[in-house]
Amino acid sequence: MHERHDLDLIAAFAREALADASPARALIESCPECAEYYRATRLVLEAVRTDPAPRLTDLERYRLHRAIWEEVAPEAPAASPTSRGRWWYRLAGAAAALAAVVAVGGVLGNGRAAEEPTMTTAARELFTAAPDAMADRDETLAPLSAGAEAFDTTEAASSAAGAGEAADGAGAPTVVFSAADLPEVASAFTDRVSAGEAVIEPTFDCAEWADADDLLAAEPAEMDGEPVWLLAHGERDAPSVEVVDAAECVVVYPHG
Amino acid sequence: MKDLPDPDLLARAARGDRAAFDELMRRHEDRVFAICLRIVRDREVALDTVQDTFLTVFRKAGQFRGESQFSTWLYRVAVNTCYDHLRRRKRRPTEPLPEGFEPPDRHVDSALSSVELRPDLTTALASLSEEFRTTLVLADVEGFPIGEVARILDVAEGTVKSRLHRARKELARILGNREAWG
Ligand SMILES: [Zn+2]
Repeated sequence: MHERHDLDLIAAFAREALADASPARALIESCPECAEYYRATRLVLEAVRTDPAPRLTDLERYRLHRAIWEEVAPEAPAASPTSRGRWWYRLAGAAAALAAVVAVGGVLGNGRAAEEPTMTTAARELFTAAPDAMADRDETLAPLSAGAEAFDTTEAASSAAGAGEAADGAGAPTVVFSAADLPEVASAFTDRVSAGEAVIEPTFDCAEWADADDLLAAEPAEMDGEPVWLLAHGERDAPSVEVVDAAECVVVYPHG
Repeated sequence: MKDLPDPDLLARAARGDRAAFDELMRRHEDRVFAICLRIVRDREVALDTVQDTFLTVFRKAGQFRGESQFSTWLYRVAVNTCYDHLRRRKRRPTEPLPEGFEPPDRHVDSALSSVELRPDLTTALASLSEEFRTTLVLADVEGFPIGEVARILDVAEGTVKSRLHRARKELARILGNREAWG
């Protein structure tokens, strides 16, 4: 027994952070209080190790970002006042978020796509081109490879330039398609949702869906020159997918 | 954007760059949430505190001078925001321990030490005082070094150490360390 228990040393020993453990071991062997503290610390660290770190769900994450921007919108410097400028600003910011996530999921997406012959080349390009395009976001993007003629990525930065300073750095490409390709786009999006690769973009603001508890994903896109949202809700295994006009928040697909 | 360090993103956010602030949030929101959830112990309240934390950071972005690390400042704002929320609902009783659980007692039947009757970490943390809980969450759960915990909490390192020692003993007792206490 000693006058002053070296609890820092004991804690470091419990964390296995000591190069030379013998002084700590000697304390534990000779002093019941040090031994007790050692066991307590080990127990706590073991409880911590086996306890999974809490994380935000996709929906919570989306709502957090949306709530922040709803709150600060009047305070933040405004983007271009024109309505066209506004939606480009929104789309450009959304595209940056989309590309960030797609870049992470892109590797998985590529691997998965290769095993799925039912997924058309064009649809696959739609969702796998983004990471590469992201890397070159300050340059004009080359057209996509053969088989993807129906699809194109736009250099959102050039379009967003008119939206002013607020869109700075948000020059990621967004996915562009024509209405004729809607079934393929919806199918590819469904696959990404089921694989957990699709996200809820923070700027998504169509209230009817945004406030629903079963929203799974909302990603920005452009169809025939108009901004749209690719939406998924319901069960992740078999999501309901809709394409919604971003300006009016009305469903454009499926029809009727 | 993804390559920019936190202070650069914050400076852009201060100029109204929304994408920069979104990126800054994405980097830190899960950890802020984990810390807040363990301090306030209620998911809805934790979500509120995370939102308030980032609102405060956004509004004060222009005041950040870089004397401390951005993360230190952010987590200090988070902890203080959690304390504010706790104070607001102070009159509510603390959450009950799980059914069937009683605090370890050296006279209690040895079955109490069985895994099923042990409270999980979150429940056990709830029994600690705010100060002990926060200190232990930052140091042992989040793994911040003692000096960083001291800067986040704005107290002396010795204070952190002493709170941590007592918090560990208390938590171990609650977790049912029968070898140490029986
Ligand atoms: Zn001792």
